[in-house]
Amino acid sequence: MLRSDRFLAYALILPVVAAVVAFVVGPTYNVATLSLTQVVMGQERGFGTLGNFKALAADPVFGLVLKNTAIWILGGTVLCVSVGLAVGTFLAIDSRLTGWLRALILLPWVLPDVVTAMAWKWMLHGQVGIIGQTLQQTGLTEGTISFMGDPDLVMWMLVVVLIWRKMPLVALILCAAIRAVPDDQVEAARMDGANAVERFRFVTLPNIAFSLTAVTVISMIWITAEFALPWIMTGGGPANASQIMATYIYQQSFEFFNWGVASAMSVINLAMLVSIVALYLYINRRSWASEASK
Amino acid sequence: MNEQPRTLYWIFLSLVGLVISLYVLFPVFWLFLASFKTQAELAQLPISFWPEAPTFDAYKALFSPTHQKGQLLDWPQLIGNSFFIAVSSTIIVLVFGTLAGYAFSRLNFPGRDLILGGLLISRMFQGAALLLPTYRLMSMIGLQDSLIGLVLLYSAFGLPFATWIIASSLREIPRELEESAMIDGASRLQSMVMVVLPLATPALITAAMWHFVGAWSEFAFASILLESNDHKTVTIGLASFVELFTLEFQYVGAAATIVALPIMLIFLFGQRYFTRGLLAGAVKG
Amino acid sequence: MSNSISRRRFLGTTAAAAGAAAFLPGGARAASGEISVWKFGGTPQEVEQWALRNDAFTAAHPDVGLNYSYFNGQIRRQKILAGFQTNRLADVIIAFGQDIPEFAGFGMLQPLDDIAGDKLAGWKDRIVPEVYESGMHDGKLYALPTYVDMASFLAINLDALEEAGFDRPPETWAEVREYAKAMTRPDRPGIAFPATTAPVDINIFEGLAYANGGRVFDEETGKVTLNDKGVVDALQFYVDLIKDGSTPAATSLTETFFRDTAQLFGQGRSAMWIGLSWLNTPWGVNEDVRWTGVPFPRPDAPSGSYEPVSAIMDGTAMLMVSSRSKNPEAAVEYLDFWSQNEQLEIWGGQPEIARIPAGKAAWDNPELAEAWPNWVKSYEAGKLFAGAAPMPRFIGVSAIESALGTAIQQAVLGQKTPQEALDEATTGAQTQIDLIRG
Repeated sequence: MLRSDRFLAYALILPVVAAVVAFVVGPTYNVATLSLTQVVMGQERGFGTLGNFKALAADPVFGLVLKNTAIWILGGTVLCVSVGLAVGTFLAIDSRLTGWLRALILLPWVLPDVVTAMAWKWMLHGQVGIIGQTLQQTGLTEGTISFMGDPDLVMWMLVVVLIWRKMPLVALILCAAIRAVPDDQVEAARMDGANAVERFRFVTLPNIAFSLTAVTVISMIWITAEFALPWIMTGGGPANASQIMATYIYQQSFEFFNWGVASAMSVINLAMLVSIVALYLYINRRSWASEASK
Repeated sequence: MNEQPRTLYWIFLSLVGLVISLYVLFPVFWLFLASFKTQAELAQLPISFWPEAPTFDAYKALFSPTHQKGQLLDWPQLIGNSFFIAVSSTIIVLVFGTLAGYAFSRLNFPGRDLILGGLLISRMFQGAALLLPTYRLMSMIGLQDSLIGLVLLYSAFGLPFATWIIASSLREIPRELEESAMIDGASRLQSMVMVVLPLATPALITAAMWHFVGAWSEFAFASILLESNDHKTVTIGLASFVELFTLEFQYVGAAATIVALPIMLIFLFGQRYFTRGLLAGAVKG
Repeated sequence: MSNSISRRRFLGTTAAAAGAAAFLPGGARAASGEISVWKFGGTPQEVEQWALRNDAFTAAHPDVGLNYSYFNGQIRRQKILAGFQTNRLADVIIAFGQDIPEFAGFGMLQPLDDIAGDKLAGWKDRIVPEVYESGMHDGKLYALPTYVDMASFLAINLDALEEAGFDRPPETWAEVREYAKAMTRPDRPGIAFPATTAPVDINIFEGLAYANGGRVFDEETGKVTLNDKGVVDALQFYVDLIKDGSTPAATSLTETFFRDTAQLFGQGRSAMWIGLSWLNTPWGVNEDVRWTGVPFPRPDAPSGSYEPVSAIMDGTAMLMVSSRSKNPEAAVEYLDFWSQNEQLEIWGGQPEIARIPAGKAAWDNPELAEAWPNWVKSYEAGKLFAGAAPMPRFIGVSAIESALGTAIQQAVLGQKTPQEALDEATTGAQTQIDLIRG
């Protein structure tokens, strides 16, 4: 490798790295130091305390938040990828219908999530929502259901909306991946007498393994960054049944003015995520390492 | 295959298609329908499905100078601001993402994979907790309440993923093409621009569309960073419909339609490239 | 209490920070004659009127450059906080009375007594004393109120009332239960109340709890008092209404906030609703629905450890001058403009009749008398504000109200008894409060 190449490389990536360091890493560092700072009445007092973390450990709501966040991130990711895979498989079929759907399916992604949250909240409302009314009219349910007011349902309804918003892209990526599977392999499997399920399992899946890994990680990152959706739809309620890290951090920092604790939570959140992603990549190392090394 | 299973197969497929379309498209369609209803019709129960007397009033109101004057919302300006932010940051992301993508895919240097991975993971760092430090940073450099500030911020948010998509796609392009151009006397830069970039068009389109949509629909940072009335963006305008005292879905629907339509048109045109570009990123690392 | 000592120290730090920040570029508000104003949310009429009157201000004060920004009400606290942290707070902030102790405690505001000078006399003169009082904190005026909202009120569908055989509104909590039960039909609940996490929903409940002699926090001892008997019994009242079968499903109450509840009432889909003083005015009621609004009936025997109040009140468009203001003279000029009868008149009838006006002159307005005859009568008799207290306000108020909101929802949903839910809320909120107040 030429030395000049190395300099060129660093020069080329410098703007990107600098921008990310300045606008993302900088503020993150700020949060990290704040998590170790005692913040009283809006003023920073005394660095080097674990008080914020201790306060979190003692906070009864935090346990609930962890559980809900697990549903949100893990449940959301798993469902997003599996629904995306199913839809992607369907879209991969050649027909006029799927051709149109492939373009239209992006609509949920194009709408700002402020709008998404409002529209779904409205549709799901027990008294004025079209979904409840339709269910009742068709006789599927006896009365209308208050989806967002029921602590047993609310978290899952949020996941349904989340998947609605994030799944289309996953489906499109996987659809493209499935369509890129070499025809001769599929044909060969067919000759060997493999049925559709077997062909999918033994030919398609191995071919799209890397894509699956990639979209899983990407979905997880998206879902973590998602904040407006749950905040506008439920604000964490009812009775904290849909309180997740993102909303609780927001509440702690801007409603309670308790930035120390909010920052501590961000740090925990980030640490957990990085370890989940690292673990996931490690488990799936074969599916991406072989591709990446090409 | 004989006839019967084939018919069953198609019925099954159509059903699946119907369910997917319903789930994905109904909420959007419902908003679209709402934009043609009146406030009275929206409030009435049982809920009417089709607009009883379709009206364009909501669209007219959005562009009327007296509507919501008190909120100081000027929709043409909101759209203009959002457009400026989205387009400028998309250009920045494309230019610098391509440069970096080239380096990550073509050049060998110590720490290459580590840096790329680090960039991607940085995307996780966003969230409610970063609002305040980001605001502090932006006002420290005098870029709070500035469209340029948002352009830079969104570019920083969008660059890692764009770089990744572009790098992945460039990796797919055989080096030989470039090398033969260089043997013919082209400089590295020339060969990159003349030979490599045209082949990477799908990836560039993907990165551009991706970033454009993200920048166009960002709300949290825009709402806290922008102050002046003539700096507001469409998402701030949209959020103004969710005030504590008012929720007028005909306006939400109309505004959402106006906001989504241009992007949807771009997508109908670019969809083929878009999926190809995504594929390059996600199929081959 | 340790807070008074620490606050002085904060002000010191704040001043130092302000000094340091002055060297940073971007703090370009030094030009004299310029003021910036931030307004957050409001009813549609109020928002429109505010902008219109600003034009009048500009016309009357050509020497003052008015830089007015309107923001979505939901981002109020984060916006003000961010502005404060970076020394970019507007000169005039129009926020809630409930914000005053926190904003003052953090050093974001300056007492108007120190800067308003001879203008104070005029303000006192033109504004109803009890409402004026709602801008006070620690013996000083921090905010100029333009109106207040009061909690809690009851809206009653008159047809439903008569149909059930009643000739007057209920007067006690026991009667409310009885009425609600009698007015319930299979297709229409007798009463609805909002129980989401929205702050207004919590304020509505606080109105009941305070009337029952409950409080949420004791400033003297620094103790959270959410499990005071007054609060517990008020919550029990909510639970009883549900148990009586007089309300929509519990899960519907926890997803339907005050505006939607009002709308359903306005469509005749509940016979009564518990709300704030504005009841249905900002949204309108179907013309075929005959209704009336009354102050919420009294508890039969107040059970709390504190003085029962007749109502709690708070303004949501109170003008404050930030401690960062470089131009307090112009800021005070702007406040003074809004203390004039022409401006306060906005809430005296047309165009805005949803609020309880702060201006004495506004009460003479015939339109107000027509819309709210009972208010005007009781104001003229000197009884409207008698025994009313401000809504909860102290440093950490959001943490306690949020814990209370959770407890309300737990009890409404039947997950816990009011006592259990409020006991837990008290412990949790106490920890939060101690953390925030140090």
